[in-house]
Amino acid sequence: MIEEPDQPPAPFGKRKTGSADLIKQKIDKLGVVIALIAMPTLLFVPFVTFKANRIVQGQPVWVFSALPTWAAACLMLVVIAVLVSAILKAGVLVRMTAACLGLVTVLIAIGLAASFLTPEGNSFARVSTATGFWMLLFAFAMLLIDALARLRPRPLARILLLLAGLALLGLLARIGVWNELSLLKEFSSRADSFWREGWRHLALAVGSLVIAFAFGLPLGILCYRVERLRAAILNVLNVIQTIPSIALFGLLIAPLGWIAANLPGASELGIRGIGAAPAFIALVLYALLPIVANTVSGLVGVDAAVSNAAKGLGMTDGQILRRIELPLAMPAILTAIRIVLVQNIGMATIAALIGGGGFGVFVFQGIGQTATDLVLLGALPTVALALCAAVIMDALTELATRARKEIATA
Amino acid sequence: MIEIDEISKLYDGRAVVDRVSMQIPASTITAIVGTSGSGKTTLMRMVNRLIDQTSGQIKINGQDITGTQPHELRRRIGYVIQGHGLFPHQTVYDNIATVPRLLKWDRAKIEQKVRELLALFQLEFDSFARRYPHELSGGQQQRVGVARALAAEPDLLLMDEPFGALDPIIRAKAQSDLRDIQRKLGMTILLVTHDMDEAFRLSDRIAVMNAGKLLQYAEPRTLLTHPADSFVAEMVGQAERAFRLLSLNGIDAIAEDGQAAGAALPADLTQREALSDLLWSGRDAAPIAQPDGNAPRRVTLSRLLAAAAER
Amino acid sequence: MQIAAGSLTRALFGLGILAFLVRPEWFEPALRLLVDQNMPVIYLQGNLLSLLLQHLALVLAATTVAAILAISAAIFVTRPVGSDFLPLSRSIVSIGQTFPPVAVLALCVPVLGFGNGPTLVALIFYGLLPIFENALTALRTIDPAVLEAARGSGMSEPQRLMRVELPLAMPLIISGIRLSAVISVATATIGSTVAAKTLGEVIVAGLQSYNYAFILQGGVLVAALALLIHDSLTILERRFGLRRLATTDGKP
Repeated sequence: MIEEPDQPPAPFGKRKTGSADLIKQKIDKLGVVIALIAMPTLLFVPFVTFKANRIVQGQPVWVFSALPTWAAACLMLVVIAVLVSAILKAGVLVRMTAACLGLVTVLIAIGLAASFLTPEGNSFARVSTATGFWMLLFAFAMLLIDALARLRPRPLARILLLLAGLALLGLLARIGVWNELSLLKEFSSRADSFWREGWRHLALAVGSLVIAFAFGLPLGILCYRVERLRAAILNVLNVIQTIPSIALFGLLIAPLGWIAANLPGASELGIRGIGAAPAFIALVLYALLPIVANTVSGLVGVDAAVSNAAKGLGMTDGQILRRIELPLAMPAILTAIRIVLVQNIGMATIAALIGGGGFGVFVFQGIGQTATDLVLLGALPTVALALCAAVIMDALTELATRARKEIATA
Repeated sequence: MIEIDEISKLYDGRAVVDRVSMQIPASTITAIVGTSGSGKTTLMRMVNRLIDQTSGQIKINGQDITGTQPHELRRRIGYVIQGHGLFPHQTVYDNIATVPRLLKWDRAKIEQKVRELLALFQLEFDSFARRYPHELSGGQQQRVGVARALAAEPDLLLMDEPFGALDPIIRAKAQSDLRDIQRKLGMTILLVTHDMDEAFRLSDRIAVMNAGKLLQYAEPRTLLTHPADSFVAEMVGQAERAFRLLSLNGIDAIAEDGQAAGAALPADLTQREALSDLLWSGRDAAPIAQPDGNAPRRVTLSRLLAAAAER
Repeated sequence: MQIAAGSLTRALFGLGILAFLVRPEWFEPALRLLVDQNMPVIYLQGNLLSLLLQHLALVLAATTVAAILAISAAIFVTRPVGSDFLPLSRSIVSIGQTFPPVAVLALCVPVLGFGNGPTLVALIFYGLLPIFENALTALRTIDPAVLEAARGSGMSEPQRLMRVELPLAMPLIISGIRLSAVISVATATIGSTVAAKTLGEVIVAGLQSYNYAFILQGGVLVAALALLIHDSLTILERRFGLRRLATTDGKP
């Protein structure tokens, strides 16, 4: 309304393009920042930590002593090539490819370093990731994220990219690139419990979502229909959401424990003060607010003209709800499921603290033993799960929103 | 006086404003009209350097505008935009005081100015000064927007579709108020609009733009009688040309001495309104209301018809 | 009426908490029901009030630093100079929020050791995200007509920022600070597993010795702290938000 349509966003256009401006146009500031992180890291920050056994203090090892000379040189070359493409304003696809190349190279390098540093046949020595590795990974991840943010792939493409990334990581793990790495040693020595806690983690996060959805959706519809209840219910759920998870666990443990101890038969049913029960209940309670609130706002957001028209066509209230209002509220409800899933995957980690299991078991064990690799063994899959859930749910929400818009404009 | 000399604005090599030259005399109202994308807003925004020109020169009162820092230049030029752009977190008082405060006027002088402007725009100081923009009606918001632009007593006022957000009745009132205020304060107004009626109602001169080029810059009458090309002719509306011409002048220009039957017409009517009245009442002539003791005067249908065909 | 009932409940709850902090022994008989006869009922290792204050101090320090960093960053990426970083920063915020706070906390330990240090860093990192997200949204959704009017009035760039953009963004920024502070209360609680001095210590001690009374009193105090912070920032937010209840534009 104010700006002419053809006007570019930059408010202060320079009238003449000097040589300084030319440099500015060719050089990407983010690329410079990434280079300023990556180059010093490569040269001055330890890449891995070497320990003679699991308990002793580690020795920092820099890239050039951690890798065979040819590999170090390759890594160096790749890093420089990636940084050049980052600094000069190369095309987005070039930058994305470069970032992926950088990430894969660093990931392979850490595996190589582990096998290079571990003496033949020595099963006590441990090689762990050090700050340098993480910083390089971080720098290239930034580049990749930036390229993706500019590229804005469509929802299905995003899911495919995610799957491709996971497949690549799986392949690298399969061919044993990281077998000598301490993290993998921690894993293989407790593979059984890893998968058991993993399933437990998922069961907690997804199970509580299902239960919360089963209660939350009708509650949301009720709040939409009965306006007097709306503020009261949302207020209560808001208060629950405000209470920190561990405190809510605590508030549930005491009564549940009391019931288990004093009500005959309760403990046989699996009700115990400490364990998965309070964690599960707490996750359900937390999940209610996003589900109820978004169901209400999704339903409220339905154009009154549409539901009036449906009424005029002779639909009953139930039919209007099922055929018109709920489908139109679907994007909002999907958004709620995304929020809850990501939130639950994170919070389920804390369940381990009250004996509820999940990946948090490794995190808290790791904290107890000051074993970073054990912490990573719990934290990395949690982060990966949460990220995958976020990417997939975002894509689904976008697809649903788009489908709704297409229906609306057809 | 604003001198615009061969001014151009290029975006990615494409001219949005293409070598436009015009001279706007002081104390007049000029309207720039054109379809959207014609470059009219870009042209106006170059005057207060919200956009910097690619080439050419603009002088205000003989001074090249690029000789002043953009924000200092803008403090000397009033600026009104469509949808008023009032600061929603500030009261009416604070909104109007914006530029005087930027210019570091003293408190008493600012308050005096705000009072004066609110009075000018028929807004009660005591009930309006402390209100927030969302507590005002659309017409009041618009008036506060103009008052804010006039607070530092600029001799140039730029207006970008200033009445675009108003409904027709309030818009007509706002337009006549603006005309009165301009006559009273005597500033130069440069106004962008796509509404031809608005341009004819308000301006001393009209600039017609299309595709970045200035097609014609002339008085409204010339635009009607001698359009520079078919685009201008279409823009000013061929079907309504005669009526537009009549609406430019008052009835006293063609009044004659003599009597006529029926109700008298107010003396400040436009010729178009008089024609409409005569056609509606089925008269050939109507008396014009005169102060007591003056000789009777009348307006006739034949004179109106002649005026409509005058070129 | 509903609001009055809510305030009354909160006031009574607050009084109860205060009484518990000053005279915990009054509550001993009730808590006694939860534990075996020979177990301690009231957590006495650290004074409860001083743990609460340390918890609060940690949250306030982290939130202040996070707010300063996040608001500056949001201002930076919304200026022409920082626009290269805008797409990335938005992605980082949405990805960062999928990281579980526990993981961030645990991963700080190898670098910073045990104690308040890693907790503070995790709180700041995690607290940055909602503030940055809200500040960015607020700064990017200001009515363009208002910004145009500010430029047209002759405000310089810093003047526009200080007099128009930041005041208008403030309600949303404060709501980000509220979110951040509430998350920080929770993360700080978990921080006691890495030896930070917070109320989480009471809960963790209870969990380690199966002392339900400890767990309950810790849980109630942490919940009270979170609600206190939530409510006071909500009030602040309302105060800032009052002026711009309605849309600013004359047309729909």
